[in-house]
Amino acid sequence: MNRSLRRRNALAIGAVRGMVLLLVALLVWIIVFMLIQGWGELTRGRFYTNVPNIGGPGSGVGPQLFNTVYVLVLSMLLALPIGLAGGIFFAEYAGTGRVTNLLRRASETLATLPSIVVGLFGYALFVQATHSHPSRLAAALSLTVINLPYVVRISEDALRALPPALREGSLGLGATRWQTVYKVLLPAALPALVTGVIITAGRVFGEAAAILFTGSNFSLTAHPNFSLSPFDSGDTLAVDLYVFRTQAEPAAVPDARQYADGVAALLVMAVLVFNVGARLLGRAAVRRLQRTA
Amino acid sequence: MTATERIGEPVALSPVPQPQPQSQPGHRSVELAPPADPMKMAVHNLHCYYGDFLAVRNVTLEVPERQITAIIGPSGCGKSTLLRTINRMNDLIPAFRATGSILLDGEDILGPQADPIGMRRRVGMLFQRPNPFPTSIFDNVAYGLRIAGRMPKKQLTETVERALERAALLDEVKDRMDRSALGLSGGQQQRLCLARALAVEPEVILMDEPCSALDPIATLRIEDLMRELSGTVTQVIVTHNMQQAARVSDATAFMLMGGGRAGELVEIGPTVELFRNPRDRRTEDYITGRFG
Repeated sequence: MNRSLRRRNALAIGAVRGMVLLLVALLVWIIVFMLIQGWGELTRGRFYTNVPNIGGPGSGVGPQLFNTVYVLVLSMLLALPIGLAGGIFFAEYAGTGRVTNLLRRASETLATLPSIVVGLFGYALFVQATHSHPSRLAAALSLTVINLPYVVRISEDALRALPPALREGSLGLGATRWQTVYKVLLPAALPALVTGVIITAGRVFGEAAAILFTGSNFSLTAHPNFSLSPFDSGDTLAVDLYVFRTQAEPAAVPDARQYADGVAALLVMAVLVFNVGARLLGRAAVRRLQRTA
Repeated sequence: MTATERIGEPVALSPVPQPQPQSQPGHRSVELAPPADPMKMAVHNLHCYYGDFLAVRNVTLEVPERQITAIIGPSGCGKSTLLRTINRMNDLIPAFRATGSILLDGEDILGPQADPIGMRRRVGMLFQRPNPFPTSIFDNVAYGLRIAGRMPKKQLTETVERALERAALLDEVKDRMDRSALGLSGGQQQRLCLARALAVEPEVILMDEPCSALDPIATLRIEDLMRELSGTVTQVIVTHNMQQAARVSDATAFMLMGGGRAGELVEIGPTVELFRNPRDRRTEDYITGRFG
């Protein structure tokens, strides 16, 4: 190898390493910065139990945390069966025809829609057209529109990643396509499905734009409740963060900034937990499948 | 008469003496299997296509019941395609199609009335690499029984154990039936797959290079099993290992890539005859290691 080749090689490796380092540094910086900023709130016990109050100090995330989880679970309950069915269709039944391509293109386009547009659509359809008010259900439906293409994609990829030998082994024993999907492929794809779905849930956990339109009633104290009705309105953490940071009167709410920082830190932590939890659960599922001990 | 023309007719193991190919002067008339042998399967004028590509050209052969028929030939000669067409496994490939007929007990499995799902219960398959499902040993073997319909628990257990016994695996796994099948060795996994296939009592088992991923000891165990099963199950094995074909099979078919890279059947006959006195020059070249 001549000198100039060697130097260019070293330069390229150096550049790649530098970029990776930059990426990691950026992530660490954001996380550490957020945690430091929000530490005071995160360690204040009332932060988790109080209700948010835009008229005075000492707000807490209690109902917002509950709403966020509520809306997330509801939207996942809606997105999972539909998305899984779509993924199974694309991976196992759809051929390579024009219609299939069109369907796949549609699903992928849906995934790229700005969430605020989805929120506006959700507002028009789930709130205005039904002559109702913003509610957890409307928010969950909008989140489902955002979720769905990801769940489809995750399911399709998880099924496609399985060795064809599994499919053939099952069909070779006289199983139907559906028996093969249901009894062999889905259980085998479970680790990838679990990981993918939880990471998608993490993304939705922090979604604000769609919920601003569909779930929020813009008056934080009106429904800061723990009711179980899907027809009650309810803000999520991300909406709360936005509202306090932009709308609170500094004179009335002197701690608005600290509170918002606390919510941001909580969101970052939650997303981290989702990611790490997804990997751990996925690995546990693989271990269960391959249990040899 | 050329070899290509000759394979167009059902020469295989038929009691009618075959004409001598010109390339083999001084060749004896071939001793064929006893004419009383019932034919389990018969392939007639089979052509297989992947899209426009002709992968198998005009194959006609017969598979005698409860014997082992080996298909040998170099890579790319269409032997796996032929095998995977026999239980319609190639239906999974969108551009695949086959013309001609494949009779199973006289019924055409390629015909419009054919039911591939029911047929695959009668014609099981063992694959190149062991492909156990990522579930327990018991569930693997029970799979074929469960999808076929409900069965009382006791009967299910007995059938699973009998299948494992026939595959010579029961002693090694009987105290860990609920553990994952993926914890077994490669050879054990392949015997598990054999047990899984045997559990549904197939009439025919197709084997697509079943030992190519196994070590010599595990290979011998599978071959022993094949010998034990012959007499109860009809077996068709594709192998690139001539010694294996010579060791285990009753009849051997030799395939070769012909014009346009399409696989053709060169000859088929009783294994001893084919290896001792090949009728076709190309068979002789292949088994004596002159090519391939």
